Amino acid sequence: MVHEREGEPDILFLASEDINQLRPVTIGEVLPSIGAGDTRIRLSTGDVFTVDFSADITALEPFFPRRGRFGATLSRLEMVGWRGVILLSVIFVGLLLGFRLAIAPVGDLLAKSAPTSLVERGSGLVLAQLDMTVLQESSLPASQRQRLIDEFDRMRQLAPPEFADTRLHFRKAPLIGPNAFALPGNDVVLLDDLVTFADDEAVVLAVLAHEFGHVIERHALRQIMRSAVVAMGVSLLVGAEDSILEEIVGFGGGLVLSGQSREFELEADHVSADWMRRLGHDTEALARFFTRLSNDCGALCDGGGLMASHPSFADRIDRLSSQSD
Amino acid sequence: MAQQPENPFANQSSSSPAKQHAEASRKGRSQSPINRFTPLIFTGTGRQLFGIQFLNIILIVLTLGVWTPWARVRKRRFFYNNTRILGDGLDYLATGFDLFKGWIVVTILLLIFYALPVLGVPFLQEGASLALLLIYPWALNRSLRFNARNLAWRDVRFDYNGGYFGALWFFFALPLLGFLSVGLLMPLASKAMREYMANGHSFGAARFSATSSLASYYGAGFKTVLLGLFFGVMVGTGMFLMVGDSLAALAKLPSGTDDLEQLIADPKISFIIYAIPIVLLFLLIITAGYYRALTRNIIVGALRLQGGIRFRSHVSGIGLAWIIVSNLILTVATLGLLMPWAQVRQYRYLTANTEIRPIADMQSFVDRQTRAGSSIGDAVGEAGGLEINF
Repeated sequence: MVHEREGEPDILFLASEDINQLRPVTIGEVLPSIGAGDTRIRLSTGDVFTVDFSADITALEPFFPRRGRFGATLSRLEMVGWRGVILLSVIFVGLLLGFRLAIAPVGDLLAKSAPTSLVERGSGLVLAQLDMTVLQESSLPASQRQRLIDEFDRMRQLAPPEFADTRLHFRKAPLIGPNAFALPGNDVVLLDDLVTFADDEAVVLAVLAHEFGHVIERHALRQIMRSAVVAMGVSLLVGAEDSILEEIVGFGGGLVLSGQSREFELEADHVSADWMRRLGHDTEALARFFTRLSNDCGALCDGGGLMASHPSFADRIDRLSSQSD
Repeated sequence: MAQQPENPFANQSSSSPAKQHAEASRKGRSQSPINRFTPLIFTGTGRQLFGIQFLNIILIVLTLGVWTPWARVRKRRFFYNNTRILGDGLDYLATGFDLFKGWIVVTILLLIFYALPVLGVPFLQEGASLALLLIYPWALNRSLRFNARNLAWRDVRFDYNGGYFGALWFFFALPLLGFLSVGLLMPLASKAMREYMANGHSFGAARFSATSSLASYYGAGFKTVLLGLFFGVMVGTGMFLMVGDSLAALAKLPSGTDDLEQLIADPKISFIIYAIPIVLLFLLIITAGYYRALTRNIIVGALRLQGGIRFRSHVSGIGLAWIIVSNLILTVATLGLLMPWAQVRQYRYLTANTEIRPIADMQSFVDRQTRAGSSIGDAVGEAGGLEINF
């Protein structure tokens, strides 16, 4: 078939059974063996032949084109023994651990370096989209709104200067229920249902302070950036496998994220209790609200599981009471 | 064999010298199984795949993701190259760079897509989602063609021919109809989809074709429903036995508003409430694996390659479902470290239960395809070779 003639070590010749003449050839393309597969070699003459996995072709390798040599080296590296299996396993678990530890700092760094104008613009756009879909104009009486705005203004004076322009938006959303939320920018949205459900202005103020806590800690933006880090990390680590591995690692990332989201809630509760005290409001209001919520809907919606974005009410009440001690 | 005295590799005059050598070596190693069903053989091992997969992961991390297309190619080559049909492996000819080009296109499209909100036009992203959805059948066609054309056996390439509306109808609309009809039309959709896929493929100039009876698909669907019911009733009974006494105790309580809370407070019942979604997931995986095995047997059994070459598959539904479920548990429990063995186990089971019946004159059949197929090689370059994979 192919052999090396004495004296001319750099040239390959092709010998064929029916032609009594050697022809000089070069190897055009090589697909090196992978696993226990055959090596496929295409010659400059256009002929293709396959070499069995068991055949030793190291003598041919110097004649491989550069890409083929790289492939052959890679194929050899991939043929790991049991020690290699253990080494690769340790590296993989290490990568997973490193990735898990990197989620929070890298996500927060991204959040910090995001330009404020872009974040504000995105936040406004989210609100505009929500306005077009689930949110409606608030129907709270103007006097009540004014009272809340005045209290919100007092909170703004407690906030660091870059959050002094935080806006309070009144909306109604029958689909969402009693709730309030903070957007990635300096926006807090209060839904009418929460005001009617709470039926207690101190509770509404405590909830507003909680959401303001999310704003000054940049929780929404940090959560977005952290989930972006998870998504990027998952696709980087296991994205080449269109398979269950991606789901597993993604699920693990989701667990980490919801754990961090629960921490964010506790931080916001902390800010709320602190501000309520400093503004001279009822410091028990938030804990009272949680007790009522947990009594109203029972164990079913207490949450606090591994997947939950919010801690359980019992946990939050505990934390609040230990803070006030 | 007795009725077929012809040597399948007798006709060698038309092949190139190098090929003749390959044929000569092949003659020695395979006993030409003419007109007899011969199983495919998978020669790869879990440890080999482990090396490939985890070395790839390290390379991907080191190159910040750029290695991904090359990693995909290596994994595909492992599975194809080690799948031996009548002794010869399949060759996957696409290079990492070919996939890289498609990957760049997709990445740019997605970057634009995610950057759209910055423009500040409401619903622009929703519109773009719809556009991406409409591109999808086209992209799927391109990918099917790309992968078929880059697959070769004995140096003859496969090919795929399918139009946009065919893909839209058979791969999206019909399965959606099957889903919307609560599964009633699913066997119909499976049949149409699989046959469309089979008929679109060719090997060299020889076309694949498949016609199977609709009744056999409904038979498979019926058996799947029975299996699902069987498991459902078993699990349901088991759960009821576990909590039956708690429920009875609850029924004796004076009816009050706290029924639900009583129910939740019982640890056995709350355990079951958490277990139900997991049980349903497993039930779905089992029935899906079972249905997949049964319909695979039907379509492979109906498959013909122009010239009289036939195929057969006798995968056991329960067997495949068991492999899938046990693999899933092993993979999850070991953080994915056992996945290579799991994948090889499943793939090997499928190949071992798939058979080909070659015709007497297999070599001249292949040679004819080689000549006919030489123009296809150019078409690959012309098509640019893009795999568009979202």
